[in-house]
Amino acid sequence: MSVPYSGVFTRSGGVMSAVAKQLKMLNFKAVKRVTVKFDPFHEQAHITRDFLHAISTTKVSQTNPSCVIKTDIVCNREKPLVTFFLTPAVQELSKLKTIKIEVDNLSLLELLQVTNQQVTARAPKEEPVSTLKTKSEKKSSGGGAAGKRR
Amino acid sequence: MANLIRKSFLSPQLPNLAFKRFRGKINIQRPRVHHFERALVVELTKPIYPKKERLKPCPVDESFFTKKNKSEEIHPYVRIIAKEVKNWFDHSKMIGIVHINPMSSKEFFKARVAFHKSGMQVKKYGSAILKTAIADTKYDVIKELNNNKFFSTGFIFCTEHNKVNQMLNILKKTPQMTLLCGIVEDRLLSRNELIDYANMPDIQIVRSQFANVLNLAGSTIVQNLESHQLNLVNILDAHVRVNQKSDETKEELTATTNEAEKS
Repeated sequence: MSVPYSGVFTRSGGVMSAVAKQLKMLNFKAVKRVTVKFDPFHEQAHITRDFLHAISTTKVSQTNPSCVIKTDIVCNREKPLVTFFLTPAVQELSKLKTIKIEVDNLSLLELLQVTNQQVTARAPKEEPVSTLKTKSEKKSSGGGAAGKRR
Repeated sequence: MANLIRKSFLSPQLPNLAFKRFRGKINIQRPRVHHFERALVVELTKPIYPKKERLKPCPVDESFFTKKNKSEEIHPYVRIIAKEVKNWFDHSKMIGIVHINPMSSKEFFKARVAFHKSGMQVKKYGSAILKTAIADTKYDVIKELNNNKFFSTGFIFCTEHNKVNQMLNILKKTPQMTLLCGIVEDRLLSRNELIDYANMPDIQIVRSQFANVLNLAGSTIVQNLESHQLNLVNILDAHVRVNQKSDETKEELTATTNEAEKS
């Protein structure tokens, strides 16, 4: 009797590669405004700051240039909080106005995963753009009867 | 004649030979099998080498993933920079601590120039340097803010404490930098406290106001103490005046009566 093989063939790339993978997936099309609220001296502040740093990169902000990222720095030992304000169209669809994520008890990877689950998943799907055809392609596909040939 | 004889008879007769192999070309790629005895000898005389030890797959070094007990020794270069950093902390009256989001170096340079124009310096430090610089000093708390993986923490140093307002103005223009807290005159202030500090009027004006308040207290005490006496004096004055008036009227009356009598 043999034991069936279980597991992976390659070793995992570690937490950082997992974070990078999640970062690539981020999409803020469904979001109008992001507010990151934290106390700089809170235990989890560094994770919130990591997140803030990650979402303010150009690659992420290019997914929705009209999305505003705001930081709210408080000094009352409050738990860090990330709030996503959804766009009106998405609000109607999902019947939600905001998505609030409490960073307390989350690692950066988990935070990004939750964001992808809740925010990126709500991004409106893009319609396939009609590709432009060159003249010769049109001729070959459409019979090319328009031109006079000699 | 002799020449002719030599040419025809005495010249060496070279045979016209062309060497040729007996059985065509040798096939190098697939050589012929040796005959039995030769094969035997070749097989017998083959050297026997000791077996090569194959490299084992790399073992997972647990210590690679867990934090090693690194030698506690601090690199002398780090110590030199740490000394400089400590110097910056000690000799600046205002320190702003900012969170720096990703920004191009061009933008960062612009921000640095703006700060430099108003006499401020923007610095970034690694955690090792900052740790050696400010551990076990009064700035020890700030170490937490520099505990970073991705983000970076910037320090804005200024030798004057009254430039908080300017710093806030420049930070408004650079949205990538977010003010976390600050140290003004050896006091750790939160962001809101810093804004309040910036909105405060000039210290000279406040001092004059304070002196005014102090004066006011003294003068009120004096007033309160003197009020009764003053009141009494006033009443007496009034009384005297009334008496004087009545006396004058009496005198006038007597004078008129005397005149009337004389006439």
